[in-house]
This record gives sequence, C-alpha cells and structure tokens, in this order.
Amino acid sequence: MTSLRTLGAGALVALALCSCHRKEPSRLKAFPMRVLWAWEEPQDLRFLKGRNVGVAFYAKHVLLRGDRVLMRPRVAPLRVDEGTPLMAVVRVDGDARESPVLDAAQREALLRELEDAFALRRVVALQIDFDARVSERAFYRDLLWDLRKRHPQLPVSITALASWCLDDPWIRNLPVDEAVPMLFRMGGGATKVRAQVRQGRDFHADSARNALGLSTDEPRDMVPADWRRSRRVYVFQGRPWTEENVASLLQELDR
Amino acid sequence: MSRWNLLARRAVPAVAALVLILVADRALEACGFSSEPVFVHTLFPDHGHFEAYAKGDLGLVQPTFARSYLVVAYRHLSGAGMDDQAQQDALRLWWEREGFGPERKDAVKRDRWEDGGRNRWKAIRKQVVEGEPKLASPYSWDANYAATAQLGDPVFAKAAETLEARIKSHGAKDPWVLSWVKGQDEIFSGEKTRSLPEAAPAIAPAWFKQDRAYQLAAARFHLGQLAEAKAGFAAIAADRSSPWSDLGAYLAARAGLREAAKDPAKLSAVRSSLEALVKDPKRAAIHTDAKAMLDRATYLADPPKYVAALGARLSAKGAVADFHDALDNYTYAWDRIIDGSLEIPDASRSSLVEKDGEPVREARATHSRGLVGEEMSDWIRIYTGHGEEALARWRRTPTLPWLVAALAHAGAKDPEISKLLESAAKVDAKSPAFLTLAYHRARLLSELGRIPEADRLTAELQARPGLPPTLFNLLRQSQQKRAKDLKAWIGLLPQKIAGITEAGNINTDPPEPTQMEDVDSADISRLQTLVPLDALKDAALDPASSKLLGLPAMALEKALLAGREDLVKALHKPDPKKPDEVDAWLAEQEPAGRAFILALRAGRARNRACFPKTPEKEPGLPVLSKAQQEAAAKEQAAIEALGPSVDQHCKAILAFEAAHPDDPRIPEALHQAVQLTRTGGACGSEETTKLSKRAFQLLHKRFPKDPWARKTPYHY
Repeated sequence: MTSLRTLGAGALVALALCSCHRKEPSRLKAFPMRVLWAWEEPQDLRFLKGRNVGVAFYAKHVLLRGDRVLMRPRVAPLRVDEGTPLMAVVRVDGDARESPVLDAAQREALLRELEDAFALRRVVALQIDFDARVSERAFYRDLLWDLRKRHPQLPVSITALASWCLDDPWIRNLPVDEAVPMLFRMGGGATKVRAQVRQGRDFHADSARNALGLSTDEPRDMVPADWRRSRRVYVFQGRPWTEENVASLLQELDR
Repeated sequence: MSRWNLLARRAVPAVAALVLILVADRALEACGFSSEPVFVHTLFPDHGHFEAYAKGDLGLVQPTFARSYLVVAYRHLSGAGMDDQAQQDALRLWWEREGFGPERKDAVKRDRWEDGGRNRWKAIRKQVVEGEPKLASPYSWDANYAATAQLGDPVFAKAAETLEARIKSHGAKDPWVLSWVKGQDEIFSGEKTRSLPEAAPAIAPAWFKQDRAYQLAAARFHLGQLAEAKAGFAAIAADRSSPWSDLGAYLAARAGLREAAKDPAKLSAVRSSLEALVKDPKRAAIHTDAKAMLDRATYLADPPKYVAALGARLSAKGAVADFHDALDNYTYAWDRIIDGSLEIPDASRSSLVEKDGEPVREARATHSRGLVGEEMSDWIRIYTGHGEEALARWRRTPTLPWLVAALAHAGAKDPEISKLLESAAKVDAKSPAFLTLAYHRARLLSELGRIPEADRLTAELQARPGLPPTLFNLLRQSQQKRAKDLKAWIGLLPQKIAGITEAGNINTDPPEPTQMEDVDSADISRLQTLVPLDALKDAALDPASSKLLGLPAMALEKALLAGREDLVKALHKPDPKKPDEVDAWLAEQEPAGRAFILALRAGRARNRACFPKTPEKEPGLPVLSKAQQEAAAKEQAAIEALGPSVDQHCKAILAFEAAHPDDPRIPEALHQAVQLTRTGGACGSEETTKLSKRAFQLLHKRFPKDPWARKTPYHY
C-alpha cells in the first residue's frame, strides 16, 4: 500500500515546483496597463497628456566590470507631461571582457544605482532590465531581495527572457511585482515561443502572467486577445514615438 | 548585448577554432536559444572580405549596406579609388565600431565605461591628503531626464597628472600643494552652492597663481558660469608664460561653444576663434582638439551643409586627409539628421517639414534633398532609398555609380531595361562594379524569362574563386526559383554559411566561411510540409541527396505519422540484432498501438519537436505538379489535425493505458508522457498541463514502487 506520507510529500513537492499560485497585491496596480518604452533617443511624449499611458524610460546603463559598477546615464531628452506616470528602467550587464566579481560590495553599489534611478523626479516605479546569465542569477536574486528589504513599498518590474518564463522558470518566487516576458528579439527560439503564445499556453511563473513586452517591428498577432486586454503591455519602438503611431497602437491593443 | 539596438554587435575575435564552442556555451547560458547560420548579410560585406572590399573587390554592394561601406564603394565605382592609408582608415573604423574585419591593433577603442581618471586622482591625492575625497556625480540631470557630463573622467585624469607633476616639483608636504589639492577638492565636490576656491594671494608662487587661475576658470565652466569661464580662460590663454595657455585658448572656445548651444547667434564667433586657433602655429599642441571642436561647431551651424561638405571631401579624387575621422563624422552627422535629433539648431530645423506629426520621417527626405548638389551623398540617398530617381540620374550622368544604382533598382518591366542590361554587360570583369552588375543582370534575365542566359551567368559567377558567400547564396536562391524539377530544387538547397547568429544579435565569423554549407531552416520546413510523401521518399533514397538535408530521417518520421506502412518499410533499415520502435510499429497493426509506440519512441529520444506545420503564407512549391501540391496539402492537413505533438503523444499513451493496463511498457510510457510535457513548449496547448498531471497521477497511483515512478518526481 502506498505510504500516504510519501504520496503527500511527493504531491506537495510537485505542486510547489510546477506552479506557484501565491498571490500578493501588486504594488504596480495603479500603473497604467499600456506603457511605452522610451529608449535612448530624443522623445517628446507630451501628447500623452490625459491618456492612461505610462512611460518606462531608459534612465541609465550599468556595467558590472571586475569589482566595479560603471554607469552611463540617459543623455537624450525625454519630454513628458507632468501627469504621465513614469517608470525608470535600468539596463544592467555583466562585462564580457572582465567578468564581474558579483560580491556583496558590488551588489550594494548596484543597489545604489537603482535607488538613484528611482529617485529621479516623478518616477513612481522601477524596472530592471538584466538578462542575467546562469552564473549571475544568484547575484540578481540577492539584489532583488536586498532591494525589497530596503524598499518594501517600491514597485519593481523586471524584464524576463521568454525562456525564463517558459522552459526555465528560475524567476519564480523573485520578490518583484511583475516580470515582463520579452516577446521580441528572441533570436533562435522565436518561432517556438510565438507558437506557444499563439496556442495560449501561459508562462509558468505567476509574476510573468501580468505583463507582456512587444515591439512595433516584430509580430504581435500571436498574443491572445484576452492577454492583450488584461495584461500590462509594454511596447518598444526603435525610433521616437509619435502621436499617430501611439494612437494606432492603442487601438490595436484594445481591439 | 542589448535587444534595444538593432545594429549593435559585440566584437568577437575571429578565432575560428573557438567560435562554435563560445557560441555553444552562450547558448547554454541563454537557456536554450541556439545559434543559427546566417546565409545573407545585408548591412555589411561578408566576414573575411573586408580587406578586399576596402581595396575595391566589392562583391555585391547592397542598397541595405550601412553608409560607411557605401562611401568606400562609391569611391571605387567613381574611379577615385582608395589609397593604402584610406583603406587602413576604413578598416580601422569598421573594427572600432563593430568589431568586424581583421583585428586592428591601432584601433582606438572608445571605452565609454572607463573611470581610470577618477581612480588615479584618488590615488595621487592620497600622497597629500588623507581620507576619501567627496566626489560629485560625473553627471547632472536636467528637467528632461537627460544627463550631461559635469566632471568627466578625463578631467580627473588631467588633475591627477598635474598634481603628480606638482608633487614631483615641490613635494607632497608643500603648503601650496596642499592648498592646490583643497582647491581642486572644492571643484570636484560638485556642490553648486559652494564658494569657489579663493584666488591666489599675492605671496603665492607663480606656478600656484597660474594653476589657481586655471582651477577657477575650470570651476566656473563646470558650474555653468560660461561667460565668466570664457573670460578666465581667455586671460590664461593670453599669458603665454602659463603652462595652461594653449589649453586656456581651447577651453575658451569650448565655453563659447556651450554658450552657442543655447544661443546659436554666437556660433559664428566661436567658429572664427577656432579657425584662428587651428591656423596659429604657436598653438600646435591643441590643433587636433581644436579641429575636432571646429568640426562640431560647423556641424551645429548647419548639419545638412556639413554633411554635404564632408561628402564632397570624402568622394574627391586623390588622398583624403583624416579619412577615418571624416568617414566617422559623415555617417554620424547624417544619422543625427535622420534621427531628427533635437541638437539641430532652430535655424536649421526651420527647413524641416512637419507633416502628419512625423518630423523625423520628413526630415529624412527633406534633409536628404538638402544634400542635392553633392554627388556622392545623392548617390547614397538614392541607392539606399526606393531608387525612383536612379534611372533618370543615369540617363543624365551615365557613370558607373549611376549605372549600378539604376540596375539595382530596375525591374523587368522598366522601359529601358534592354539598354541597362547592354551597358552592364560591357563592364569589364575587373571593374569594382562587375559583380554587383552581374548579379542584377542574372536577376533581371530571370525575371524576363531568359532562363538559359540567367543560368549561364549564374554558373559563371558561382565558379569564380573567392566569391563572397552572401552573393553565392543569393544566386543560389534565385536558382531555386528556376529549378526544373524537385530533384534539382533539392540539390540547390545547401548554401554557404556566411556567419553565425546567436539570439538574433551576435554575428561571428564562421570557421572556413567559404567551405561550410548548411540548409536554411525555412527550406527544411518546406521539404517537410510541401513535398508529398511519395516524392519525399524518392528523394530520401536518392544517394545524391545531400546529407545536410537529413532526408531519410525526415521522410521516415512523416511516413510514421501518416501511417504509410509501405513507405516506412522502404525507408527503414532494420537491424535484426537490435530491433527498435520502428520494427515494433511495423509489427503492430492497431492504429492505437502504433500511436502508443510512436509516443514511447518520442519520449525515449527526448524528441520534443513539434509535428511539422506548414509555414504561413507559403504557396505550394512551383516545381511540383498541381496533383503533387494537392497531395502534400492533404497529407499535411491530416498531420496538423492530430493537434500539438506533445498532447497527441500523451493522449496516445493514456488511451493505451486505459485499453491495456497490464502492458509492461505502461510505467515507462507514463514517465515518458510526463517528460514530454516538461519542455514541450510550443508543441503543447492549454490541455498539456492536465495531461501531464493525469499521466503523473496514474503512474504514482498504479506503480508507486516502480523505478519509473521514482524517476518522475514532478509533472509540468
């Protein structure tokens, strides 16, 4: 006869690992469900006044090199109306030439850079864009926990490679309010990911089920309509946004 | 590597033996995204061909090339050529920008990250003062979230260098050296409300007075007190005994340029002072920096005119001084104009036409029109555009560059096509334009239905030694369209690898680029889905078929899915000593049993590939008859009706378990069902999780002590 204890333990392990349905109220719930990424080029988004559209703007790029944390800020002007909600995006990379040490001191220095970004005028949320390699994941995880402990109310979003959300869900249980599956520039796995999304097969991690990252120059039609309508959608465009193309984008997302 | 920049590339050394290993490691790091071969480069020449390109062996010059390559192409096409220095300058620029081409030891790698100056300052300062200095952020942010550098790394580097010299001359304990450091600390602290360092007292030594004057002017500059800074630097410049005299002259102009950024009316005066500096032989020490600044001032005054002037210089016959910097600035300035950068002064922006709220797009056209009158820039604009004006320009100016532009944009229905083809055919095989013209001749001959001529020309070109892979492959792709039958088409599928891409971003040199071949995944997909099974079987059994295509395995898989026992027998090579699942499939007569065996086989092989799906918007293969196309479509529809492969396999296993609960293969099959769902990904559906759970529960409920159950701790 099967030991109930064994079966119960096995089932619990299976449940814990197959899906994580813990729900916490998101600190991002007040942030608009439609967000434009404003990257490193001059942007005049004052036409968003009165529209319920947020702007996630590239604030700085941080490079982890050796034991140092090097930073280069945004230099292109971003003009927005005072009422437009802003999310500061910090791009993080480990240096390919001189691998980062990923120690506590480096983590603390990176944390300060994140805090400085959040401290920019009128910024209400922070997004971290870090395509962490396997060797960098523990560091990233610890960083996020440090950030959460230090700023328990800070709305935190992270970008997530599509593979993290599908086949390799290491982002489960990270202390973030959302993980944004990046469904563009996916490289060799793009066809597979698009097919999966088209079939409505959802992402493993709960945190990855509330948002999507798209681009205006790549296919978007694979996204199920109910996802489009109910999830926060971030959109990237490789040239400055205009009122016209934002209007048609919003129509497309809401149809 | 950022997904945010379409053109960004990471410089990767072309170490052939290690390339694939590096790529493979990164693929593992990136969790499953593998590298893919590149068959056609569109932005730049093929790897391994940069030196030849710079020399004039241009291969196929594509309208999609980045402008720096088109400048070099134009020089060769127009007969201006490239001397050795210009070639080296071009290669150096390409290496600095993208890491392409042969590695350059002389390249100036602009590492925008380095903070060596800051660190050096801190280290030297410690010789004079204990403790860490308070250093301002190197940037200040404006109301539009844009940062400007306040104290860049070179400023710290200069301070470190100066302090080191003062320590050497006067000693670290000298009170004036200490005062010097304290003054510098105030400047570097970045406090906007601080008082400036005090002016040097009368009793100070001359060196200190001169240094202090410089520190004060610099402090004012960094505080944005530009008029005062300019006056201070001008006074320093006038004092020829000061070690800062030359730098003072340069910085006075620099302060003036900053003023002019807000007040363009001042730009003219700045340019005059810089022109005077550049001509002054006594200011030779700062000529290089002053020239660069003059360049920037000229650009700011009138960007389109600046680009046109540089274009004229870059395309002029004879040697071009500073070809590297000129090419760099030319393309950079043009990009800034196209971007609609807000740097453009208002006077210049008034020529922008704002239409439909898209000033950037219109800027591209308007500013490009503003470049009319400069031949090369015009050629680049037309060549990279839709080419409507190309033919008219060739008629007016029947030179080689315009012939290339006209032919590249020509179509079979163009009225002057015969004349264009005739002129192109006369171009000598040694001409830099030859390959580009020959490629388009072959293309147009094919479009005109002159197939034997197109085939002959294509064969001649492909036989040329050292032909760049991109050109070889483009010719091959056009041959595929002209193939007479399926066998010929299949024979044309392998292409030469021109590069390797990883995660869509990195493009590295392939090992032995002209030797390795591969098959485009899109063509594999066409084989799988558009060719009827009988024809696929024949092709698979043809010993002449390239092994790259994997035809025997492909045909066998499809035959198994379609239940075509006759074809499975024709394709399968049984090994009596090691019977496999295909043998079991052949022995099994029940469809449900066969589906079970296929599912078990997929699980054992960790085969999580989806059933083939017809690519979207893909018409049938023209080399097949209508009957063949219909047969392929029917077979494919039947396969697609099976649904997602992972679900199909799971259901087959579950159904078999229900019908044959005592079959000894069941525990393993249930395990395989769960494993298939683990990374089924795109080959599953919303139902997959339920199927996985069902298989998992059955396995643990019915076979809790079976080793297969122990190997299956989770479902997915």
